[in-house]
Amino acid sequence: MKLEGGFINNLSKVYGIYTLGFLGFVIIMAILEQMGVSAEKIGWMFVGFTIFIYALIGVLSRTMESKEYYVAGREVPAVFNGMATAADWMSGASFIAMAGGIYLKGYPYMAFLVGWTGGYVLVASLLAPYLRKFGCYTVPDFIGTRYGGNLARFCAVVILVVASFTYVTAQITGTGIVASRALNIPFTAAVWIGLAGILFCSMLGGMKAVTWTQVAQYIVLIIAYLLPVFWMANKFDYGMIPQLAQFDAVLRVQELEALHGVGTLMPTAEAQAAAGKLAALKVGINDASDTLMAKWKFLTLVICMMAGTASLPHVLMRYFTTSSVRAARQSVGWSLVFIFMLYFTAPALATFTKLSLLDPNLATGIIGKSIADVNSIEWVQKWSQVGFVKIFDGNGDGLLQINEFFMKGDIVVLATPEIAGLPYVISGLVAAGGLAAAMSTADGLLLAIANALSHDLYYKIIDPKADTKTRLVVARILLLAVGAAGAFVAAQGLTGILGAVAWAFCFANSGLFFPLVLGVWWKRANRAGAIAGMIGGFGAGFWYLYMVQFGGMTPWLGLDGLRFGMIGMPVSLVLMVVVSLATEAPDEETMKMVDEIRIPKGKAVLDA
Amino acid sequence: MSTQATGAPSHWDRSKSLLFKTLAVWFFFSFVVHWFGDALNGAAGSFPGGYFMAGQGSQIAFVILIFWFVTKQNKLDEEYGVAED
Repeated sequence: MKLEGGFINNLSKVYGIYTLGFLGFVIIMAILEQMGVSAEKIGWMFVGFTIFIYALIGVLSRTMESKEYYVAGREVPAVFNGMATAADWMSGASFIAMAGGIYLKGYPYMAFLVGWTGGYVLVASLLAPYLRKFGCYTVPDFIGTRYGGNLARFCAVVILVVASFTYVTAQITGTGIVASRALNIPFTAAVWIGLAGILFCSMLGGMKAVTWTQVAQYIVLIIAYLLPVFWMANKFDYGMIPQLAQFDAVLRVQELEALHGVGTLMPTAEAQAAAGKLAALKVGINDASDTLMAKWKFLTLVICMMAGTASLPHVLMRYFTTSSVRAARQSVGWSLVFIFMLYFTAPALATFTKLSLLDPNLATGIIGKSIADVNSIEWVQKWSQVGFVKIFDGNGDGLLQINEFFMKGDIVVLATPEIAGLPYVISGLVAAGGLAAAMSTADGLLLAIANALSHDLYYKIIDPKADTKTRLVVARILLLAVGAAGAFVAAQGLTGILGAVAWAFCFANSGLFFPLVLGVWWKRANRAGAIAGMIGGFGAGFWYLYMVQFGGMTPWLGLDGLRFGMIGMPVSLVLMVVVSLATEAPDEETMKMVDEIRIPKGKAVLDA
Repeated sequence: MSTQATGAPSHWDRSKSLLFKTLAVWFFFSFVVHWFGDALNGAAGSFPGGYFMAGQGSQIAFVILIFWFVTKQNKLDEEYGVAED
């Protein structure tokens, strides 16, 4: 394709054509389904076609220039960077697990929604524009230059690697779950296939390639998330716009929950043992508790997720790619707009799925029906086979009670098209969307890790004389190695998607939040303070997580493994302030540098 | 510009005050509102206000807040002549 004025000036056109092409592909698949092509083949085509497109973009964006490899040439327009950030940000957890979380855990779970969106206010106001003006390639690059010295840089690299690696294994796991379901292959094989796709997108073109595949992945994932919800809402007459219509549905769901005894009818020990890790519905969709403890748990989760958002390097580094400080700022707003599109739909999806299953007046309702009938439903059979659904007639009355239906939260997204009786092509689309979400985040994370290792550890600390070519070769080898390590850990199947994701946020905020923010906002912050803040905060958080998770310690004040940033962050702040004040103020040059990043005008600090 | 006369607030002072205003609104929609989540839900059958705020309301507020902040900060940069060319 020949484009006048080059790729950057034709982005709307290119991605417009791409979107139409993708919709065309979905329609062709729908026609093929009507013609009798099997569901399995359609699944293969969805997964194969989308991965092929991403890999193609990755190969076309190959580069041997370090500015393009590390920061996409700093020419990504604000809106497109917003889309790329949204894909970078919305992981398998957002796409696959979030609606299911709201379904099973109700109101308290929505703290994730608040935390994962409000964090962007912190990114926009505290960090993104200043880091962009600084002109760094990686987040440790900022820490290393602002505070000076290899030790500070090294600490930042370690925290980045631990946080991002925890996160990336969850994403590769997510890729494996979706691919194994859609392609009907074993989980371990799916993990490695997923990794191959991920690496194809990032290996040759670094940040430049990842940026343009992430935009493409955002388009796929948002279509895949919204289309079934709109379809379902209109099919069942819930209202034209599900996000607005959900509030009446919530009231109806609350009536049904009372009717079915949600919250009072608990599964028996025997039933739960038979169901293993699957869960029955035990809390209502909107049981906002009035106890102090419940409120405290909600707010602490919000704080941890917000501060984590503002310290996760794979998110921050997306704002290094814009053409100006102004564009970086603007771009944070656009990121949140695109994220919001999915996040404000998730509760609606949870609510409507609940309505479909709980309402005895609907054809899709299963609770209260006879177990023999429910067991003959196609989606129940299919998802029971793969261990996502379990029916256990505890009281032996032959009817399905709320405490006899066990499920994995993920099916709210993955199986909804089938539950609602939509054509299989929609399931294929959802699989492609889930894959896009997990792959795009994995790409961003792998790149963040490999870049920190190649730029900060190898180039800045080990071999400052390395030429560009060597650096980029090292960067790619590291990318392969980190990816393989991630897939290896993921293949062991150690953690659920969400546990590991929340850990990553707390690792990042314990170690990096205050060193980053105070680096911009407090001139007096110095090297000793930053190092103390990073080591102390990260160490305290790590220790607390270990003790609560594996050491058998009772959590303090209800701060469980999802909230250990509440321990790490205060330690980090106090140490950083006290140690900074107890030691010498930063030199004149550093002070000037901070002044320089506080105004948009002029050259980037590192370019000067 | 006349605002830059001695004694007048500097660009950074005003950026800081904009930050504090932004964070105040952020604080309200992040924490204060959800503290009253149960009260906002009201009696059975009334509009689920707590659910709305957690599931949508705060998110909408954050989007508007960021664009408001960005516009203000851009104006501020231009006023002090420190915006990019």
